[in-house]
Parts: sequence; C-alpha cells; structure tokens
Amino acid sequence: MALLLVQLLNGISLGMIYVLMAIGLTIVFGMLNIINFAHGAVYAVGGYLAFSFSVMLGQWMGSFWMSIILAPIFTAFLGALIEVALLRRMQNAEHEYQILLTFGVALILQELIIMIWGAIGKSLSIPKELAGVTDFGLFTFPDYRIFLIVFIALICLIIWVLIEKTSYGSIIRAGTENRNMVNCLGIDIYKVFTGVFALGVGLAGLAGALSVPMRGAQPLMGDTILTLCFVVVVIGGMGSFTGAILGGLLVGVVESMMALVWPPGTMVSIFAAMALVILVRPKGLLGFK
Amino acid sequence: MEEEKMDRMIQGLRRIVLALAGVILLVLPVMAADTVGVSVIAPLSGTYAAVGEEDIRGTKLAIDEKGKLLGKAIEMVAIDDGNQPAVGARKVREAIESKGVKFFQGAVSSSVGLAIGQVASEKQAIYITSVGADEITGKNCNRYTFRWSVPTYGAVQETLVPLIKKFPEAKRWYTITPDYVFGHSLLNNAKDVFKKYGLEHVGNDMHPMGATEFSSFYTKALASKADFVVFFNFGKDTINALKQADNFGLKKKAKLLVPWSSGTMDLIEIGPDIAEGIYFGSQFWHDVDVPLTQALNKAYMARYKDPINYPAAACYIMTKMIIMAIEKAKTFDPPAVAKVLETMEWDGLTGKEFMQAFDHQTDKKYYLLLAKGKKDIKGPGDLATIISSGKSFKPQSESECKMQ
Amino acid sequence: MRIEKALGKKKSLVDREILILAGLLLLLPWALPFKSLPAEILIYALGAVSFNILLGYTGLLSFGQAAFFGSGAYLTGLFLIHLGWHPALILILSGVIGALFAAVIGFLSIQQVGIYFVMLTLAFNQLAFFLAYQWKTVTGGDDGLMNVPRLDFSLWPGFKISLQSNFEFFLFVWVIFIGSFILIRRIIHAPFGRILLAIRDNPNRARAVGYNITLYKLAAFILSGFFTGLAGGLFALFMKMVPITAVDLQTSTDFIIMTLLGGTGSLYGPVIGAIVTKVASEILSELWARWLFILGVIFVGFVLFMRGGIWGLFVAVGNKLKSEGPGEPS
Repeated sequence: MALLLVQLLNGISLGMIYVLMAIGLTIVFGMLNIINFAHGAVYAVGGYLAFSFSVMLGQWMGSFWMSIILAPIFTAFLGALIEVALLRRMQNAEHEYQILLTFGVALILQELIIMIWGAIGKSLSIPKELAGVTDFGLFTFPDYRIFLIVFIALICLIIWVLIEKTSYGSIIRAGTENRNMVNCLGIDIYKVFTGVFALGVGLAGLAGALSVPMRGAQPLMGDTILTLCFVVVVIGGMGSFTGAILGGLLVGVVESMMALVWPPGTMVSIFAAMALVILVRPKGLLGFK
Repeated sequence: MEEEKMDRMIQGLRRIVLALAGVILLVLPVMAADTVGVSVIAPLSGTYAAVGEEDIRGTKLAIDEKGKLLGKAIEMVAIDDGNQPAVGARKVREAIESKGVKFFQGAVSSSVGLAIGQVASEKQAIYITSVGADEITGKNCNRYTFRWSVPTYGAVQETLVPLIKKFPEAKRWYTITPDYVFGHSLLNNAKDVFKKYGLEHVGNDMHPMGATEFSSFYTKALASKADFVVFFNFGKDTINALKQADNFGLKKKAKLLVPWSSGTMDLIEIGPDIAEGIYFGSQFWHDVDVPLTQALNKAYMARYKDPINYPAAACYIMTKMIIMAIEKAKTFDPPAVAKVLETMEWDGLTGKEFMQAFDHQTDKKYYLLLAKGKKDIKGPGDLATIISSGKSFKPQSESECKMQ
Repeated sequence: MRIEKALGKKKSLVDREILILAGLLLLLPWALPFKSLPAEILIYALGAVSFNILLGYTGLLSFGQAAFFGSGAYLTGLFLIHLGWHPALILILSGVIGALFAAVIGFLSIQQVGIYFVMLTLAFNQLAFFLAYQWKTVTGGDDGLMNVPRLDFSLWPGFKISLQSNFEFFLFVWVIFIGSFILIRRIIHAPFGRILLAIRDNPNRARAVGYNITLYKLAAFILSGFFTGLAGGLFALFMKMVPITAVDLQTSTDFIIMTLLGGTGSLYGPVIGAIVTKVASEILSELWARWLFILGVIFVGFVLFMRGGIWGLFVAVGNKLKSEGPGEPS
C-alpha cells in the first residue's frame, strides 16, 4: 500500500516535469502550427544554464533560486532568437520541413553544449532547505520532489491565469483558433508568435533547470524527453492546455507504476497507450485540433 | 525536350560527382608507406563523447611514448563509432580494406565490441578491447580478439566477497540490474556469490537501459530492509541511480555498492557529496603503488593537469600491449603478433599482468574502492581509498570459449 | 509540378534515364575512396526511394520505416544462419515480411492524418524496437544477431556467384537496386502513381471522385514496406550481422533525412540524398568530433534555402540552362 502511494506521488512529480514541457510544446503547436523537434535541446540548454548560473553565483543561499529564474529567461530569449531568425520563414511549410529544421537546430544546440561545457555531465546540488526527506508515516518522500509538484503547479496556475484572464492570453487563444482573423484585427501577429514561442521554450528551459538537481545535466538529456513530450501532447490533445496537464500527469504516473509492475516494459507501455489514444480518440483526450 | 533537360542535369551531376571525388581524395589522409596505423575506436559523438575524448588521450600517450616501432612511425587512426555497432564494424572494415590498418583497440559498449571482434576475426586484424560482456572471451572468442579488462565474474568476486567478509552482519542484499545481457551476467554471478555465502537476496529490479527513474526501486529496497543495495549499471545510468538514491535517503539506511564503475570519471560526475560512503569496483586506480601507473599518471597530468582516469588508462595499456607484441614478434603480420599476444606477460597497470592463452583474457587485478567525502579529499584525484584488490577468473574448465 | 509532367510521358521499362542512373551508380566504387561504403549507400538509397513512395508521392510522413527494414534484416539473418537457403529467395521473403509489417502498421495508421499519423507510425516503430530488444533468443537483443554468413549461390547449376569481395557484393546490390528502381518507377508511373499524387494533394477530392483512398494508401504502404524489407535483407548480408539499430528510430529518421535532402519531388532525389548523406557523414566524422554540428547547420540551410532538395537544385539549374539555350523562346 505504501509502495503504491509512493509510486503515485513519484509519478506525479515526474509528470509535472512533463507537464511543463508539454504546455510549452502544445502552445507552440496550437498557435504557430509548428512541430518543434528542438524542444528537448532547449530543455538541455535550460539545465546547463542553471548549472552555470549556480556556479557563478556561488554557494550563496539564494543561488539555486536565482538560477532557476535566470535559466528559463535566457532560454526564452534563445527561443525568441530562433523564432525570428528561422521559424518566421516556416509559417506554412509542411510538417516534414519543420521537423528537419528543428531537428537541425537541436543538433546544433546539443553540439554547442558539448563545445561550451564539455561532454562530461554536470551536477547541481539541491539546496539544503529542500534536500531532506519527509516522513509521511507510511513512507518517506524526498522534499525536492514535493517542491517540484508544488512549484510547477504554481507555474501552471500562473500560465492559466495568463491565458484565460489577460488580454494577451485572449490573443493567444484567438490566434490558436484563427490566426488570420487575429491578424486582420490589426494585432501584430508576428510579435505574438515570437512571444508564444519564447514562452514555450522558456517553459522547457525551466523544466530542464528543475530536473538537473535530480538527474544531473548531460548533453543528450533532451533526447529521451523529446519523444515523451510528443507522446504527452498527443495523449492530452494537440493545442490543449488542460490536455497537456492531464497527459503529463498520466504519462508520469504510468511510467512510475510500470517501474513497479514491469520495468522493462515502461517505454513500450507509454507508446502503446499513445497508440491506443490515437486509434480511439484521435484528437487526444481533451484536444480539439 | 524532357530528355534534353535530363541530359543537362545528368551532365551537371556527373561533373559534380567527379569534382567531389577529387576534393575527397585531397582531403582524406592516406596512410604513408613508412607508418603503421594503430586505431582507437572511440565514441566521439553521442552520449559517451566524454569517454571518447579520454580514449584518444590514452592512445596518444602510448604512441608518443614509443615513437618509432620497428623502424616505422606509429600513426593513430581514430574511428568515431558513435557507440553504435553497425557504424563501428563498418568503419573498422573500411580502415582494414582502404587504409591497411591491422591493429585496433577500444569500444565502450559490449555490442560494439562483439561486432568489431567479428570483423577482426574475419579480416585477421588484431583487436584488444575493454568491454564487459562475457561472450568476448567466452562464446564469441576468436584468434584475433583480446580483452584487457576483467569480465563480470571477476568484477563481482572482487567487490562482493571482500564486503561480505568485512560486514558479516549484512545478510540482506538488494540488487538493481540493467535489463540486457551484460547486466544479467553481473546479476547471475552475484546470485552465485549470495548462495555460496548463505545471504538473502531480498529483491531485484530490472530496468531498461537509459532509464531515468529509479525511485520506485528505492522504495522497494527500503521496504525490504536491505543491508546492501548493489547497482549493476554503469555510465549514465549509475550517475542517475546514485543521485536519486541520495535524494531518497537510501544511503542512510543501507550500504551501496557499484561493482562496475569507471573510477574517477564516475566519481567526479557524481560529486563527493553524493559519492561519499559508496563502494565502487574499478578496473584501474591512478594512485596505486605500481611503477607503470605512477609514471602514466605523471605523464597524463603533465599534459592535462588532472589525474588520469580509467578510459584513458585502458586505451593506453591496450595500445601499449599492441606495441609490445609487435616488438616481440619483430613483425607487423597479425597472425604472428596474435601468437605473441596470447602468451605475453608484461608490467601492467595493476602490477604484473599476463594473457590467458585459452580465452585471450588478461589476468589482472580488480579494485574495490570506498569513495571519500568532501572533508577527506586532500587533492584532485584523491576521491577514494582502496579497500582491497585481487584477481578472480573462472577456470578453463568452465570456459565457453572454443578457440579455433 | 515536376512529377505530373514526368508521369505524363509514357516510359518504357529501361530507357535512357535508367541507363544513365545505372551507369553513374556503377561508378560509385571508383568515385569514392571507400571500399565498402558504396554497397551501403545503395542499400540506404533503396530504403529512401521506398520511403519516398510514402512521403513524396502519397504525402505520408512515416516514422516507422525501420520496422520494415529491421524485420527484413532479421529474417534474412536468421534464415541465412539456420536455413542456408538461396539468398535470392531469402531476400524476396525479407521483402514479404516488410510488406506484412507495412500492411499491419499501415492499416492502423492511415486511419489518422497529419501529426497523429506521424506519431502513430513513431509509436509502432518503438513497439517494433521493443519487440526486437526483448526477444533476445531470436534477435540477440542489444548485442545484435551475430555471424550472419554471406553465402555464395548459383544462378543456375554450374554458374556460381560469389559475394565475398567488396566489388562482387556491390555488383549484387547494384543489380537488385536497379531492378527494384525500375519496378518502383513502373508502378509509380502507372495510373496508380497519379492517384497517389491526387491523394497527396487533395484527399477529399480524390475520395469524392470515387477512389477508395484507404486502399490506395495501404497499397503504397505495402509497396514501400516490401522494398524497405528487401533493403533490410541486403543490409544483413552486407554487415554480416544485424545490430539492434536496424530497427531503431534513428534509422527511420535517416531515411527521412536522406529523402528530404535529396528532394522529395522525384525518385532520383532520395538516391542522391543517400549518397550525399552517407559520404558527408563519413568524411565529416573523420575531420571533427563535433561534426553533428555541421550536419545540423546543413539541415537548417536546406530547409531555408533548398527545400526542393539537391534534385530540386538540379532541376532549377536545368531549367535555367534550358531557357538560356540558343534560339529558345523564353
């Protein structure tokens, strides 16, 4: 029983990272109709930036917090650059070309990481305040993972407010449904595109930064999570914010539970689940595109 | 008129292809007649790029140390296999056929090592490797493939047994195993040890290679009240696993052992905070009282500042073994060199080492280390103390190798 | 568009184009300073051309080609090791198993369109990989299927064909490649190909006109699967082993990249793409450990400036030359 509870909690904490990634991916697809194969690479960039910032800021108490704030901001900036320089010309390109382009960007970023930081992995220590375990009676659970759940839930709330309650958000929602109309209404849709892409990439960078204390940073850390992101978004529904949350949590929990039941089958179960969702409910559980 | 267009396109194409060919011939180095090529197969791109870089460094050290061999200059031929068997095997074949290279060493993953061993056997080229799969000197042994590193049997014996003797009250053992052939052989060897010493194997978890989540295993391990948790992973998996083990406070409740590790490379990446108190098995340690190792460490530090690590050391000694064998055989002819290699003895990195003729496995020591915490580290490289070392190899009667 | 114009003409089975292609490809072992790479190039070229049946002609971006490639490779490997049949027979069977996998995967996937189709094929590729990885007793799992014999065979009694040397094997692959290419071209240039193009450009209209697009898509899959499986079989013969990478996502991605770089607008594009990609990787990897960086830049450059691929570039150059030819009205 305790085992199941821990696995559930674990799955949720795992899923939260996927949720962040998936929201980023889905708003980019929903708004810009772009399949971003560089999403994993920017996750890695975020992780490495967090590492560098923490080294620069030293052993100071707040350095961890500063790092996880600065890293996503810089990653978002990188995203804006990529969007303006490259993706602008890809507005109506077929998916295969988007994939090739973003895949190329991913290779460039990954090799840049090796050139700048070296190929050996980097570590970032969990700040002392979060480094312990909490005893829940039946089981103990790492504080850092609890922090992840709470912190990311907060971020999701902020994003939700942004999308649902602000005028910027309504532009995003409108643009997701009908790009041209928004353009006709006189809004500079291109600036909005850049902003949305930067936001999506920034979220990936944040996910990367948050995961480094747990797993360390390696140049190819974006690879596996990229495919999982797509799985999550497909399950939840392309373009759906709540779908990304649902999908992310679902995949996280399945991954965690499978580790209990049949570890070698973890990946295949997730893919089988995705295949099932596509076959039965192609728009994803909550999708509309 | 379609055909005219076709023609012109084909003309253009033909010209471009020939031009490219010209450029290629200019760009690619050709093996000069007065050099002998010694190849290092290393993953320079991909997940193990860090290891690949060290492989090159170690190879270079051995080659520069020697200078000329039987009158010829030694040229290092680096092959980037990206840690993929298909790429490695084909490039090795290419090097043999196009460049006439006959001496190879390296590879990180057993699948690559096995593939190259097959090519080496077919093409009669010498190949020395440090990959771990038992088959290299077992079922898949051949005349031209040799191994320097200790296989899974020895790794398990030289780490588990000393700890069992050191902690006689530790009766409950939990294992975490990567789900592929190499992991399984480590596990099976360990099971034999558990049985022999009457220990309780309280649980085992198989995980896919490259798994990022080990959390569930720790909950189970904690619940089983294990005294020791043994990790049969290596590389990135080990780093991940140990980081998370620390997260989950596993170290406070049980002792941890990683029988197959890369020594300093792993320890640096994990960091002393997490590594402290964990036991590691290692093929090599830079600070042992062996003359060759001390000299090698000095030479490496002179060039690269830090103490030497296992991948560089392995490629160094394997390159050196090739050089020594060629010298002793007084020829570059692979069959003759192979004959010399299989009965060779030399001053190695773990003391006196020699080659077992029946399966082409090197008889050498394996080390058990205890990682130090930050406060005990006195300098770079002072990351662990040696608890014990020894040699354990299966007798010839139990070998699956049928050397033709 | 180019393809339509080309399809308009009636083509004989072996015409000038084919002869020129065959001739140029035959030059590969001399044009390249690599001994075994030319055969591998043709094998991947066959896979890429088969893939383009789906992408360029039917508009289906399939991430599952490695499933067909790998199944053909494993079948060939296993049959050569355990049964020792005539390689030609085994290769045909490899094509058949590729077609079978394609039929199943295709049938399930073509129910969807767009990104969902793509993800579904990706999922099936991963499933196939998992199957190959777990079924260690048959496939060798992560270690791969080792010691696949490259058997010589006889065309007819007394006439032995050896496959042992690099050139002999290259010739063998070349014959099979050209033969496959001719077949594929014939099928594509029949009305069948026209219908595929119609489906690619406007599936609803095609359906409205009365074509059962599901059936046609499935047929395209089976065709592609057969020749991809055949390529896989050749791969097993070439490598004399079957690594697990034959089924993995990277291999599927390789076919996609080769086709995109070469140009999806024709059957020749993928061939060029295979040559260029393989040669470039080989050379670049010897020059700089960070060669993947250059590859990434090349991809980005292609998408931004050369979306028609290398073949598209040739066409553009050819057009320019033609319009500047003597006495040609502009």
